[in-house]
Amino acid sequence: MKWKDVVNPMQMDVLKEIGNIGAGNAATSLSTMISKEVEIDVPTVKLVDLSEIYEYLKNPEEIVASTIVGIKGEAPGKMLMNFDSDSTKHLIELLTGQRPEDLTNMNEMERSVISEIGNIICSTYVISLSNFTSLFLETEVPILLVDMFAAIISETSIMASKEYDDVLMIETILKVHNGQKLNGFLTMFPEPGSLDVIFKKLGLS
Amino acid sequence: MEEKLIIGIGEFKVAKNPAILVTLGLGSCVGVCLRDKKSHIGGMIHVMLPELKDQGGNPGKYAEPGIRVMVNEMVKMGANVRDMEAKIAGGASMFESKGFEIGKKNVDKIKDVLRDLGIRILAEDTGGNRARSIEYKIEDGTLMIKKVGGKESIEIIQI
Repeated sequence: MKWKDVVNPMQMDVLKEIGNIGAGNAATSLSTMISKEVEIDVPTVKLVDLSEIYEYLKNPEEIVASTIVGIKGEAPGKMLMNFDSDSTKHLIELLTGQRPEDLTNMNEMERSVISEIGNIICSTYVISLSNFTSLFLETEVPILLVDMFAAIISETSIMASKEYDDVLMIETILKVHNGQKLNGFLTMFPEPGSLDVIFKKLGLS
Repeated sequence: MEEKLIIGIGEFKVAKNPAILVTLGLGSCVGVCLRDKKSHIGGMIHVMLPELKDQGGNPGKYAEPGIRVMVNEMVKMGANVRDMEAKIAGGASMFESKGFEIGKKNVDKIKDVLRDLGIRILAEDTGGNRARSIEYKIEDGTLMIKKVGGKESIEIIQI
C-alpha cells in the first residue's frame, strides 16, 4: 500500500499547513530556549518510496542526534527532531556553556539537554496540531538516538506505518543564523488511520 | 573493479560475480546475503518485517516470502540451492522500549526460512542497539559491516 494513492493534492496542502503551524510554534519555543532568532523554511510534505530513501537523504550514513517523540491520542504518530553533529554540539554549548567533544559518547547531562530540546520542539508542534484540529493528542517520553541518519528515518517510519511502501513526511528545516550555522530537520510521521481522523475533523474526507 | 549495487529498503537484487551488494542503515531491518559458491551468483535482500500477511504487498519487505522469491531469481540465473550459503546482519533494537522487538523477530523468521530451504548460515552479526551498513562481495562471500563507533567514527568489521 502507498500513501501516494490515498492522499489527494488538497489534503497534501492541508498537511503542509499543519506543518506550518506546528513548525512555527516549535521554532518559537527553540528561539525562547536559546535566546536567538530561529528561521523556518516553508514546510513540505514529502512522499518518498522506502527503496529511494537513500537517494533522498544526501548523506545516509551521517551520524546524527535525533529525538523521537511518540504522539498518542486520537491521531497517533511519531515526531522526529534531528540535528547534525555540529548543530547538536552547538546547541548543548549554548545551553550549558560547554561543547561536547564526541557525539557518540555524551555524558548524561549532554544527552538530557539535547533530548529535552527535541522534546520541547516536538511537543510544541503536537500541541499546536491539537489546537488547530481540536483533537485530543498527547506526547510520549522522548527517545534520544545517536546513529546513522538513514537507519533512524527508516526505523521511525516503520514504527509509524509498517504496512506502507512509502514514507509520508511533513518536514521543516529550522535554522539559526547567528555566528555558527545551526540546522535542524523536524518531521512528523502520521500513522495510517490518523490522516483520516485529521481530514474528517477538518471536513475534508 | 566490481560493480556496487545498492539495495534499498524492502528491496532485493541478484547479481553475478563480479559485484558488490550494498545496503545502508539497517536498524531492526536485516540484510540477508546469499551466494552460490560454485556459480558465484549472489543476492541480497533488505528485510523489514518477518511475514507478509495480506496479499499484494511488496514481497521484498518481508523475510517470508521475500527470501524465497530471491532464491528463485538466483536459480533462474543458474544458481543451485544446494550450493548456497548465507550471511546475515542487522536486527538491532535501536529503541530500548519494550514490545518493539521487530529486529529479533526478523532474525528468527529469516533463520526459519533459511533452515527450511536448507541454506546454511556461515556467519551473522545481529542484535545490539546500533545501526549497520553492509557490503557483500559475491566473489569470496566476505561481508563488511559498518557501525557507528566511539568518537563519531565508523567501526568496520568483516565476517
